Amino acid sequence: MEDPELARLLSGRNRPSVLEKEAAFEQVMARMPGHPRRWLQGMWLTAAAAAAVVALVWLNAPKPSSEFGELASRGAAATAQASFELVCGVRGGAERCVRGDKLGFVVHASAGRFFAAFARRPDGTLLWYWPALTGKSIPASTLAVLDASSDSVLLDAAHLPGRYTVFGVFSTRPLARQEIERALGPDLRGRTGIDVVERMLVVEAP
Amino acid sequence: MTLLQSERELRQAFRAGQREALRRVYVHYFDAVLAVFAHGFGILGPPPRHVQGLSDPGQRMDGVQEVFVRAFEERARLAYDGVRPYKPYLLRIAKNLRIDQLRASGRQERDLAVVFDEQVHEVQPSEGAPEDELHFRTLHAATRVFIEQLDAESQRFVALRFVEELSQAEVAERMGVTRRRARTLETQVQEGLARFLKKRGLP
Repeated sequence: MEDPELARLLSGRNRPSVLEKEAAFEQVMARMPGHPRRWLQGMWLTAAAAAAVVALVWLNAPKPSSEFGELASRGAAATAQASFELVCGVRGGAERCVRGDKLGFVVHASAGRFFAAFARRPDGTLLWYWPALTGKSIPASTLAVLDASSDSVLLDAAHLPGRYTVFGVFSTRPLARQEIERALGPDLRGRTGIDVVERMLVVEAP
Repeated sequence: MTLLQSERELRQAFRAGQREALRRVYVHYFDAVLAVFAHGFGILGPPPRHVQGLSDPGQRMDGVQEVFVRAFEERARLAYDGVRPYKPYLLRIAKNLRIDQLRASGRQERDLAVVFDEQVHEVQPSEGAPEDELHFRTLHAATRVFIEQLDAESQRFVALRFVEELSQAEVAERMGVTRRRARTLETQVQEGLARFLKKRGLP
């Protein structure tokens, strides 16, 4: 009998045990950009210990930790597909957005992708977030922390209460609004070289 | 109060990307995220919808992994303010990922989209076929006998490590033993259980 099965029996639950979760967690960490791999951590520890014995000097080298460090492997596997999540500002801890909130975008995309976003109001009106009227879509890697005001969208008076569809448009080159509208067409669907990801947004009156 | 809301130090460590904090969050929310991929979820209407789960355990795990990779990215960690419950945010990523998958496969109409107030099916105690579940219950009954025969230290270890799902380091700290002792206990308990079951003709 394998360890995971034994661990399930010991937990009393016939579903992934702590051992299976920890093994899966290691795989997640291995996919994190800039995270040191386990075997690399082990090598570093061994090398540091050997150096300490031989040279009898204190090494001021950082021990491998979960922090992103010098030993980090750069450019580990990027997310499988471009995507984004919306994060509403905090108003009473609710998970809905209230007009006046800031709307954050957490964007997941590989390097070299550009991001544009707009919302379709219940009455069909499009409210553009990025790019600006005369600008072009921005590198996806530069987005998006809720607290960074430049990366957040204020749900202003144009955001009437109701259900919105927020469109995230990922492209391989910077695009202006008109280019995006032309590429998406009236049905707002993705085309070759352009991925469209949709999210629902509920805006409530304050 | 959820895990990250109630523990300020953990929240700070999580935002800083510290490994142990990420592990705690991962283990704590794993079942809830897996449930989205295993059982699907409902979306309040109009009209109400049900998004099917995945039958392939490997695909389910792929989904779980993708959710945590996204949630653990630095910008995503920093976007979490610690005020709101974290679980809905994680589950939203999971549900959106599932919907994106369905859309990409062309098996789902386009207007399907997650809003913030959908219902998620809770994880079921068992995901296996009935015969598998019976087999598990048989083995588990024997396992309980085995645990009752363990000494107090080993019983406490089983409770902390396998039931509460603490890491070896946390277990060692709670029990006031060394990490090495915790590792030894883990090996002893598992090997002991394997022998116990084998002796009783339980595969």
